[in-house]
Amino acid sequence: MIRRLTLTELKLNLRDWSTTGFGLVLPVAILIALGSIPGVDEPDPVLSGRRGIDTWVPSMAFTLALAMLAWFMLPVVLSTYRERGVLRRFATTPARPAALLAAQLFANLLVLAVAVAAVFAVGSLVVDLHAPRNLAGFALVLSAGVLALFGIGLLLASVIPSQRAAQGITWLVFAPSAFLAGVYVPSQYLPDRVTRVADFTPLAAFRSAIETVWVGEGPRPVHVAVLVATAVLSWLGAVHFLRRV
Amino acid sequence: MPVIEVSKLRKTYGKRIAVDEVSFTVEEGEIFGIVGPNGAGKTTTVESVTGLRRPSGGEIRVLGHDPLREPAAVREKLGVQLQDGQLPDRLRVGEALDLFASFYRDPADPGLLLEMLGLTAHRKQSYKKLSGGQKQRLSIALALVGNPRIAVFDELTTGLDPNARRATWRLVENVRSRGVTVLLVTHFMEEAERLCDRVAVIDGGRVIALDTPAGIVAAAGTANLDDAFLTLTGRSIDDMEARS
Repeated sequence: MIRRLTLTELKLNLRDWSTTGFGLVLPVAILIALGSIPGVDEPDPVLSGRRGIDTWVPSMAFTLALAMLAWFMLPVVLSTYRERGVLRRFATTPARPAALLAAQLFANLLVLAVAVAAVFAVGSLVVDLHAPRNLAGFALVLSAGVLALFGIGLLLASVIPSQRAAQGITWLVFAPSAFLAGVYVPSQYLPDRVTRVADFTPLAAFRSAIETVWVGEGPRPVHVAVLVATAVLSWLGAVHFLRRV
Repeated sequence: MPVIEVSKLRKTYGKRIAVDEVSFTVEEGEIFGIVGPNGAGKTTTVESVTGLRRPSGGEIRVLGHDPLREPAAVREKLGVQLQDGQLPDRLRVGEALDLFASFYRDPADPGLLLEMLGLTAHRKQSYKKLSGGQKQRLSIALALVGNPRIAVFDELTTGLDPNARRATWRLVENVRSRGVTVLLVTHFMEEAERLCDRVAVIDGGRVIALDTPAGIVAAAGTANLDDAFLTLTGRSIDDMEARS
């Protein structure tokens, strides 16, 4: 049942090509665009002699891919379901609304997996992207990041009553998070005071942690702690609020 | 043997009483109507029967099960069409039926249901592009796809033109002739009179009459159920609809 539901949700998400396509294509497009900036594949003194393509470029692609799916796709789809009575319709069948939420979550994770694979494939072919040096660390950070950011997405989905509201509120969450994560202005140019705050926000913590594991270091404990704490709190909150469906 | 038993159902929202001591039983194989104006407590009553709402008091048994304590047993055998329950825009008719069929242990054949409801030609059409009547027919199909013993239809023909409404009435009779008990919620007295074996007339959260449509009409000494409602309450249901 949950498999069929997941496949159906995946199909529905793919039919909404403008949004899913964005989540799928955006990370690769960002990788190519940023990876083609002249000098990004040469040692940069601002990055203590490291190359942009080994540090902020891949982390940016993953951060935006995850944010798109977890914060835009998931809450907008689920709040539309709530608004239009789809969740209530499911509540009258042996499949509970929880099954629908899980299916939507799995469908987004599948798209994310494809996006991650595409970043690696296209990256190594087109822009001299190397695999992360600390693979175990990368796996850890990616898992924690997925749990934390999708947790926030589910929490948003659990409290937002309508599609319109979802579109507004997710931007309110995304815009400052993206600023702190160095999406508008690269983190190395942000004032120290700002980056100290940023370390405690999930999206920025995720991006920095991806960057550190990419160059082969261990992720900073503060970043892992922020992601894990966010994951735990958001999932608990989401489960609490979703009981009201 | 009754398949639905509701006794002294109460539902309050803060100080407002939506449903007040509503009791009725639905016998196997009948079409039972809950009629009354909008806001009378009809939807709250059926939503309590389906387990979507937690009553403030009273008891409900569906096929002997409490919808809140044994939801799985109830959901398997109670097919529901909700007034405001829609589907995702891009879901296609055939997919919706196949998907819902996969939720049940002993589903009906989706192809036959589509045939019966005249939706075979629209199999590949997405939900968004269906007309009002087609959406209603799809939601009837979805309510029946689990091979339920009871089907609940809430305001099935609201928003349909007279032709589509009459076609839907024939479908409901068809459903009953297949041995499914029907609980029908409506504010169209004509619909209740035409379809139902027995009706509970609800007004202001209370049952004000419970009998066969002919019995209610005879007791009120009027020509039809619309006028009977006027006699029972002193208000015309059409006026109340116009205002709401």
